[in-house]
Amino acid sequence: MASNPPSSPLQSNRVRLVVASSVMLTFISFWRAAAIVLNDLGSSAFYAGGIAEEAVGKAAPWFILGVMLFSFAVRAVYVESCSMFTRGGVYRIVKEALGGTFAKLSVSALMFDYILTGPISGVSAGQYIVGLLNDLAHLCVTRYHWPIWLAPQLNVNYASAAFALLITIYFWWQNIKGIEESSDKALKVMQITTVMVVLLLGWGIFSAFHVGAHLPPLPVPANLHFSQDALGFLRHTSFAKTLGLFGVLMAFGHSVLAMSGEESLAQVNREIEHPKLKNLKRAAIVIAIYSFIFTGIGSLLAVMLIPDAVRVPVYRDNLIAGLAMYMVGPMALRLVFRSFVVIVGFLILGGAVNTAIVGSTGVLMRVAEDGVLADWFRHPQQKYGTSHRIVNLVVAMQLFTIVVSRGNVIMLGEAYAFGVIWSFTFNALAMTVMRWKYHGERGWKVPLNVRIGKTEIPLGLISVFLVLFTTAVVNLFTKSIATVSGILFAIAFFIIFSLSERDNKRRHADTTRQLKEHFQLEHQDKVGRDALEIRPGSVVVTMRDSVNPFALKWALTRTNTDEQDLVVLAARMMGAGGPEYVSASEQLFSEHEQTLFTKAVSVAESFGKHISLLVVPAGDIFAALVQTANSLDAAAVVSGLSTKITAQEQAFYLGQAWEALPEPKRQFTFYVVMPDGSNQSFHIGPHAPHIQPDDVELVHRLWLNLRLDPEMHDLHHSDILTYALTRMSREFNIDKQDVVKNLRESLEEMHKRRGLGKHYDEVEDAAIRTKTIKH
Amino acid sequence: MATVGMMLLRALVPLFFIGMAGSLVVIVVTFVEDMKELIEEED
Repeated sequence: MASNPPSSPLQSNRVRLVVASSVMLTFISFWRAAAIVLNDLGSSAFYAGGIAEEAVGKAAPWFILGVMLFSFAVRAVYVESCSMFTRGGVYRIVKEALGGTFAKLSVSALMFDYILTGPISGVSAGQYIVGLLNDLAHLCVTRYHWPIWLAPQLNVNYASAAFALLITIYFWWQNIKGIEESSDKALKVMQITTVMVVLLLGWGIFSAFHVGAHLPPLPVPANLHFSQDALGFLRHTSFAKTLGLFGVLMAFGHSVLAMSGEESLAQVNREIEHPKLKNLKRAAIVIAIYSFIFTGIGSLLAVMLIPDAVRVPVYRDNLIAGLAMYMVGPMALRLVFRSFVVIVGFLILGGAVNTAIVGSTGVLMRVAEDGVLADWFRHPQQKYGTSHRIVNLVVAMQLFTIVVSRGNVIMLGEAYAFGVIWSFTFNALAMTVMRWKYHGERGWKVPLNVRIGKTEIPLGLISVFLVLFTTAVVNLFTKSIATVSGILFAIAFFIIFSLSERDNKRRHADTTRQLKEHFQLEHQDKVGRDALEIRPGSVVVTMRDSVNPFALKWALTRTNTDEQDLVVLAARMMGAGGPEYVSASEQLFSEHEQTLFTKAVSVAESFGKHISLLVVPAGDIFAALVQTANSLDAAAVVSGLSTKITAQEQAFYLGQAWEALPEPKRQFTFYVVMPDGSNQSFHIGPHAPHIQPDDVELVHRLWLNLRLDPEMHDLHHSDILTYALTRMSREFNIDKQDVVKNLRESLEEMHKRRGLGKHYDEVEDAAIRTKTIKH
Repeated sequence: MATVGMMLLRALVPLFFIGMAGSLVVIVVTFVEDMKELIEEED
């Protein structure tokens, strides 16, 4: 250890508290990004067609197709916003362009969208499952003469609502525990969905030609037949009798929920790998084409193939299941395909319930970090460290919505469109304003810009805004449930945000003042040893819980801070859709964080040792840990045992994050400390293995025997190891499975041979290695 | 009052279709541009 630190950290009485601005993230390919967005956007294919047809009649699929086509233009607006700000979602853009009041209004509309995504997806999944169960029960009674009590018919709406409640509660618990969001899961769901879409469209188009199906009536005023509910506040006016082209606008408004989920593109953008803009555009075009084909053409085929007599009365709420039942082919095959549709629907709609909780939690976390939501909401759950109060609030509203709707998809769909259209409208308006207001870097522009003199007129952006704005205004008059519930919701949230912001301004001023009194507060773009004024080979200790900081106490006991610096790391989890960069002015400290830092310092003082404090914004805790350890050139990382995963799993995930780090990178030892003070240690990165005495003996005996050969006089022990490893590596490249099988047998043999009473210094290493191979 | 409101609603129709025409151009241009991005080789 170097004996001379760059400058003595003890010069000031205040502890150095370094706050990093760059968020520590892991990055994903554009395919994975597209899969995450499609899990949300694609799920609307399961209910949008039925809801639109109920409202506007048989011409509905043309409007769904029109909306999906228009979503290409909406995506262009999001791409431009993301090219300006990495987290280019509604809140950030509207705040920049139109100020805090409009930002709060737009985020309230967005919350309405996100909150309703959960109930509509959960209920819709229930409709598909219950619809299938009822049809199977009916089949058993009529064809196989089962008694009715053995195969009863369920009330579809109530059973669907019960299912939605169950699935929402399940994902509530998962979010309270803090499930790891994985693009792998999204990719797998989209792979299986793609199989279903290919079968659906292939078989559907074949069936349409086979039965000579006709296209739906053209989307002209004469073919629009609005339901009484779809006329909304215009129902009792003379206007409703002479709608004309206005009816086309109304029908478009009733179909707009088909493109809900576009906002997820902005949420996922910060995690898209380099080259970011190019990959964002690739993800956006994949998403737009996929949803156009799935939602648009799927809805068209449904109207073409399912007879009028049953399409709305029977299959309105599970239209794709109905489509499966009216393909040409044997009944058994159609039933099997319908079951497949139901399974895929369950996966994608269930995923959308989770996306709704994660998304709305992410949006609220974002506004909370901005000081627009009371600190009380940011308090981490004691055991799992998650933002449980925000999750509870979101899920409570979703459960309330499900109960009020009593499983009625039409009612949910009508309300849902309010949030979708208004959050898009605010975004497009803000982006138009930004063309004049924002002079910073802009990676890409929505096309159709006409220059008159020195002024550039963004005709493309204005056009998209006009469509969204006119549709949003018309929806206000034609969607009475959406207007009343949406406005009430938006006002309630706007009041909560405004009151919270006022209260927070006072509290944060106090917190910042107290922090500055006790800590030497420094904001740094990136974490480095210079910023913390520490030497290489430090110890990084994570700290989350101020009540029982056993990991910090353990590390302090074993570290001589005169020789080795100790850094206490607090990761600020940014939540889904958080920013990539958080400037100093945006780093508002909650009371919880202040308590955490104060506790860390008081524990260190009780040991008579010095510590440094570091705060890093993070998207992924393991990525944050390895990136920090690497940039600080740390020798050890100490963490408390996770409440969710085992010590081995913690080490495994940390090892995976380390492998993803770019070179140069340094190995370190990872200690997991148990609440009782015991610990487990793991080497992260390549390291010299601990060789058992038996193995040393074996190498030596081989060396002795090989040396008998006159040509082997220059042989060293290490040459034997090099040869053995090279040979194993070659075999592994030829037949991976065979090597793994043999290695596993060898490990079992070794364990038996060693027996009791022997030390297994590398047992944890072995566990990690085995897991890596399986992975 | 109601008549004025209804007239304003009617006024939205041309705005909607003008917006649709402009959006169509945006869709065509960005589709071609992004498809090129999608299929072109990595740098």
